[in-house]
Amino acid sequence: MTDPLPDRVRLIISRIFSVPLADIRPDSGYASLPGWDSLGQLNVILSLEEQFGISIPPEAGESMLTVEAIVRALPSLIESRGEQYPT
Amino acid sequence: MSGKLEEVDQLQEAGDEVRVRAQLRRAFEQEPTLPVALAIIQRLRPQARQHAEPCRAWWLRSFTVEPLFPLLEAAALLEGLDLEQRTGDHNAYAQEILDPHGPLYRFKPDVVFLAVHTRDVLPELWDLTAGHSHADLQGRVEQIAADLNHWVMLLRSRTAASIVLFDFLQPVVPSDGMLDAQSVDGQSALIGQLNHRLRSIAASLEGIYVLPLDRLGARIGLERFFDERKWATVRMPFAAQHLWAVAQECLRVVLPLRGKVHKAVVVDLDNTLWGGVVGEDGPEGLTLGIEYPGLAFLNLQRVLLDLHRRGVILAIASKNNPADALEVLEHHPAMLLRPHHFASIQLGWDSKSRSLRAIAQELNIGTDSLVFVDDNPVEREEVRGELPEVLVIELPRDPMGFAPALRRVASLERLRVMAEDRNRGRQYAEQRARRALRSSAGTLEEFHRSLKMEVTVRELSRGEVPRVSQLTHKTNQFNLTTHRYDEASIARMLVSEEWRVFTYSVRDRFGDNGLVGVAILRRDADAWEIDTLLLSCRVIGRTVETGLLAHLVAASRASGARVLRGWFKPTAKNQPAAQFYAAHGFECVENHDGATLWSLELCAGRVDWPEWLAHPAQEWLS
Repeated sequence: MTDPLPDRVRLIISRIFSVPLADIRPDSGYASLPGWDSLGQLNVILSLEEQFGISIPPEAGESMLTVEAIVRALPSLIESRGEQYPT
Repeated sequence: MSGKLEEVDQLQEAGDEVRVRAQLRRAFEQEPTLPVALAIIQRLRPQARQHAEPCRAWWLRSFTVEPLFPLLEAAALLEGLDLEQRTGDHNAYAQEILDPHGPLYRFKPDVVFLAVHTRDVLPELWDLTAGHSHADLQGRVEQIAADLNHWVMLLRSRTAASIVLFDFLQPVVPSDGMLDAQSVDGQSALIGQLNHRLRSIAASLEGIYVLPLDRLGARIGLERFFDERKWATVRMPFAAQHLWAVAQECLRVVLPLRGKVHKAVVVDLDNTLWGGVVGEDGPEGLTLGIEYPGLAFLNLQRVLLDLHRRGVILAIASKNNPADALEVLEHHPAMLLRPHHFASIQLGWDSKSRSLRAIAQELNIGTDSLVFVDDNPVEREEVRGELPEVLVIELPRDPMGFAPALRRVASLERLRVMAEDRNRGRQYAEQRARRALRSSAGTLEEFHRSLKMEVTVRELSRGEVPRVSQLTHKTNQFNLTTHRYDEASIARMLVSEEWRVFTYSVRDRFGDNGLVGVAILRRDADAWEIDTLLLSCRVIGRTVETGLLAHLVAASRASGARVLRGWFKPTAKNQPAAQFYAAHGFECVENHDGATLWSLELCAGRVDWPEWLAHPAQEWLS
């Protein structure tokens, strides 16, 4: 839990798409990584939700298509996780 | 930064597959997530063919299940199962079942899941706003139950696959609020009825199982289990946080279904089975009972007793003076478990790995069938280092967590419990008596005579199908081909002209071993081929094997066959049976990648029934 956020995201992306960690750059994403299609994106969103204990609404998820964009979006999602209602 | 998981790459380069799997298993235990699952698949997939047994699963579903696939695939690979999964379209399950030439049947699945959400199959019952009367809703439930019955029967008749039915979820809060609980035919009651009908459907035929999703939702808490936004956006009912719980529930069915189970649990004593150290605190100083904190240890004993009742073997490996430990086991008033519950008790000062080896040897099972439960992380590491194939349970530091940790182990689940399972504890005690006789008897033949063995041969009956399937999965040593068959496949042989299945039950002066031998024959023109010949390790080495073969020779000859033949397919464990056909006068006629085909001309060759084996019905011997 002490890992800095960008490193955690890079590790998650590296494992999901079977790409060596060293090859994951800030702009790696939907357009550049093979396998990051719509099902790949669902895996990314579900993994982030699980790892950070958050719920990502589709309007936020739609723009989380690169490592950089994910790292940018996460802090506010993490901050607001207490506000979510049970269904 | 990189995780523990990436460290296995070096082990993998060194070719140490057992250790690679142990390490990956541990990484997955600590972090059972999609990224870790995908990383495990990437590492194990290339060797899957050599180390894992294929299993094809088709998902009939009304909702999105795909995110479960990597979790299931990774967990299955770690248990030696190569799971290949496919799914049909959302809500197309009825058409897929009905179309005999559709993709479902072309896929030739080993397992078919039927995962349908209450809100898809019965929207008017999920959401009462449409205003149907209770009588209407009752009628709808009957109608859906009848449809389900029809679909499942059709599926059963068209595929030999095992069928797993998800039961139906309740809403978080019933539409009628507290009124619902006052009614015998309200929303909750009707969904409950539907689930009851589902269980009746499953119980009516072989090879159909219920996956209690509703129970899982209750365990987790439906408020947290559901994610309404996920439902609205990707048609997945559960929250990301609980995907692993759903996958685990699936594994609890799939692993026992495919025989990927652990046979025995080995427990430590001090600070595991009871609180305190008997050698220092004395029996009176131990913590054990219905009050806190003794309850933590009592609860672990309850789990062990539950496992014992379903046929899991229990054993002890403890560093203790035998007299001290036995005093507690025999006489402590709060103990639920007594010495007779344990098939092997290793007390002394040996390392745990040596004790585990001794237990495996005494029980005649592989160390890879053992689960190890010990509160001491140092002992756990020692066992992980020496015996990476053993499943070591990572107990939490707080003893209150011991019992839940053991309950979570999917490979200790059983889908059926048969008389043979319930009696297993007693049978191991009888086995000890047999060993004592063997060391006192003179020659081997005197020993065989003194056992007063009696073999009952039967043609397979419906009631024996589960046990026969179980034996094909569990028997590794005296098993000439190691073909594994699920219940549905065995049930098909029952009604086929092409197959004949014989079962063998053995009793002796010490007790009844139950159904321990199986022969499966396939007709091939004027020959019979032995597709499967196996005998439980409980009775091997007592000439019963020869009796089985003598019976097959006699039965084949009686049915007019000219030749009896059979393959020997070597595995890591069936070497004891390698010379079996040769030793009984069969000739080797083919050798194919190490597998050998053996043949006996029935007009000339013969195999004699050992005269010390009694057999109540003997007409087939003449």
